[in-house]
Amino acid sequence: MKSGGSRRGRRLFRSVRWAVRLGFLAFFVLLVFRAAYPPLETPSANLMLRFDPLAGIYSMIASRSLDTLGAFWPAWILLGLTLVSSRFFCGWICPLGTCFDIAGSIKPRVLKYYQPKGKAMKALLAREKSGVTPRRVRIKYFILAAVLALGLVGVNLLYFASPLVIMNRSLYLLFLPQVPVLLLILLLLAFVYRPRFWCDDLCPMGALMSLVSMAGKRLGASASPLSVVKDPGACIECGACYRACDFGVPEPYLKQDAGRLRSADCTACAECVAACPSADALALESIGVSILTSKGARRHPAYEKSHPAASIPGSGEGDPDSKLTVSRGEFIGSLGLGAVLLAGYGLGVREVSGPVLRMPGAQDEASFLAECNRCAECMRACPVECLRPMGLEDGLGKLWTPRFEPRTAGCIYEQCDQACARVCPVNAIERQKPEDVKIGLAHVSKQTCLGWKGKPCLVCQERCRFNAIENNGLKPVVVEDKCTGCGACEQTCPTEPTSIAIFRTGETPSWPQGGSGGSRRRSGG
Amino acid sequence: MKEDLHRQEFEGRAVESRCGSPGALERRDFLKKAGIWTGGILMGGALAALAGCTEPKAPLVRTSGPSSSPAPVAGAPDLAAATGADPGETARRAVDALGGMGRFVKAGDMVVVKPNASFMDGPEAATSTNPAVVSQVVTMCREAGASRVVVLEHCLRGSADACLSGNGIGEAVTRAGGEMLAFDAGNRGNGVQAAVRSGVALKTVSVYPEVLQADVVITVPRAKHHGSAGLSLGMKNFIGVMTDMSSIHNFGLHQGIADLNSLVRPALSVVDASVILLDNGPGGPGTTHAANTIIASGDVVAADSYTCGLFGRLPQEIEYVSLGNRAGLGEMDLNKLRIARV
Repeated sequence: MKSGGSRRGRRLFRSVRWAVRLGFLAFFVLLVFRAAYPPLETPSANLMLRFDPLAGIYSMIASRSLDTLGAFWPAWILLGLTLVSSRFFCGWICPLGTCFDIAGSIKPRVLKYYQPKGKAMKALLAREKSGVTPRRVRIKYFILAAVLALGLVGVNLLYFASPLVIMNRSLYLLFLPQVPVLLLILLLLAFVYRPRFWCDDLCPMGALMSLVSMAGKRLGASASPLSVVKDPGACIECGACYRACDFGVPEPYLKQDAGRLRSADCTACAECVAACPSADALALESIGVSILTSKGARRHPAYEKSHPAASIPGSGEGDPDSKLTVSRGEFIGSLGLGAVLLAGYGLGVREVSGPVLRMPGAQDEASFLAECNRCAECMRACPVECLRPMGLEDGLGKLWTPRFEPRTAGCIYEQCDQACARVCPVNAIERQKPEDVKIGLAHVSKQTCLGWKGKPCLVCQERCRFNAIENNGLKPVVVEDKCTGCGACEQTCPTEPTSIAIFRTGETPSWPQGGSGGSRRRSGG
Repeated sequence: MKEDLHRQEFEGRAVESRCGSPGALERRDFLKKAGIWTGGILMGGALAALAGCTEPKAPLVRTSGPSSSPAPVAGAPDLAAATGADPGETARRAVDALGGMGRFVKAGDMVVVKPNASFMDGPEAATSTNPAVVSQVVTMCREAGASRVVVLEHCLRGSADACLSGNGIGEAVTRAGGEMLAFDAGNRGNGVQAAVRSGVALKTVSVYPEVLQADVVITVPRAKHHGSAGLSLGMKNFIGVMTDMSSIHNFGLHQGIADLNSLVRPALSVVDASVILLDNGPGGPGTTHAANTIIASGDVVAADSYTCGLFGRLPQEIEYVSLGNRAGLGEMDLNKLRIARV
């Protein structure tokens, strides 16, 4: 056991952990910042989004193909490391988790979180020890099952469920600038209720990593990159570790045998090690080398007797938290919850209007809605900002999906080299050859068009770089074969509302009746 | 021993403190943390502001454009039409026939050159001004001692980058020592709101500030057919100094062009008629004709009027030319002009 025995060592360790977390958060923010056109290539601007193993698995389920298998390589590396250690991503890397920790750390001590003390704490610890404490219902496993099950029927819940998607989109909304409501609600709950309530109780990505790390521990993987180990001989059973754990894991306190903690929810954040008052009772290890050991002020006499040479024996069996957390009952319950969620979601996604305009190369509407995580990366990358997040006007099902709004800006796909498709972390958008692009078709409103009223204009013809507008005298006429639906005409039409507009191929154009400033699409076009 | 440690821990984390009362620590700790976070947030905000995330400032209001008029030179013609196969060299001969660029540009002047660089095709398509003509005008301005030559354009098709690299004007301008300032529908830039004092239909218009700051404005259009205006010439070229170009159609295209020209009075018009587009304008592709002519004049209406003849049309047929003539912006009647053919 080398460093970290002192108070100074623990302070240094906590600073290092903050530095690591804030560093990853800063890296994440930087990547979102640099997703703006031209999007960063190395490292790819969507790199952090591809750290999400849940999104990777979901994407393969939703698309029923292995197309994204290679793209999600960071997630598979992460899962591999998780298998041999713990949910370390949550304690060290996750940008959303770091935001929760910040919310927790700025909370004034006068408003501090509820923590049982004294007798209440002793009673709680005694209950944990006797094993009769009813475990909190592990909602996150239900959510995980529901997210994956709903993927089979093409309903994407990741936009509410993946911490990385939530962070990415929230940052984009800040750039817009709009208020990232979901993130603020979560931060508020973290501030008021418990910093890591989301991670411990709700996060399906965390649930996936919990399952994987638990599986790895049951397999008995030996060389762990990051794990907390316990030596029960030195434990004074004070419960400081239990109180220090953001995730409420009782294992450092309860574990009776020496070796790695096997709890599914341990993030190897080592707060328990830093809080432990007994020398060498707990330690954070990386491949057999201890990074941090518990306070070296005193050693329990029993430890000196039983451990003439400091060594940690191999792990044993029979500690309560390492048992499979999802029972058969819970699994059946998760399926039921999935059904309830699906029914509720089905009510929310009722199609108010038909398909909307998307970017070139977008999958057909049903596949697009199934695969799009609403991470907002495409909208961030669009050089002309012609993609805008949808609101609730078409129901919950299309919330935050990118809609092509040609009145805002026409698409310049052959000039930006389809930046949206390049940054999409999943398969919602495919690269297309410029000559194959057909976003929609322009239609002219003959009642409002200046040219059709006999006035000289033809801005649409001037603007059309595909020469898809011919003039019959002063009247513009769209050539269907040449029109790509890029929307340069709609963007620049001088009338208000526009007299030329892009509609989906085959869609019957509908024009608003009079009024000024009314957007055609808001009125359900 | 065990009990000691036990109790110590259960008194809360404050036992780690070296300070006196736990209350003092909490307050100080809180203030310190609050201070750090406030500082961090402010710094983040400042960085974001530096990175250009802030809203554009409110536009200024200007009421006048450049007012310099060419110095009178005895015996100099009102208009020069030069013919030749090399458009750049021909442009220089046309301007020299008027008495040289020194008549229009003084040492230290800031010059705004407005070409037509709106389309992506090269000069043979006759949709944008020939880059050789633009660079020749920039070079002549530099030779006359201009402090800055800003080449301003609001590109029509796709992004400004794509237009300028397609028609070759971006590179030509930079090489000749000018500053290219190009906007497009996706980046319309920030304009200033200008009042058009003698405007009939157009009373205020948002234009790029450079055209109002400039000492000299030069229009360098490509002469070509235009679907709605009839012909696209030197006067019409100024629609490209507006931030919201399409809006001119709400005022009536022809009256709007004439009003705009009363705000932005060009000191010189150099019309590129080396190759002219006879139909399917302004974007083409259409029938082209090698007229091998460059027209230069200090009178933008006269230059446009003369160019109409190359298309076999009368200036009266192009409404904005006659409106400009009626508003006193220039002379449309070629019989009243001294014309030099070189």
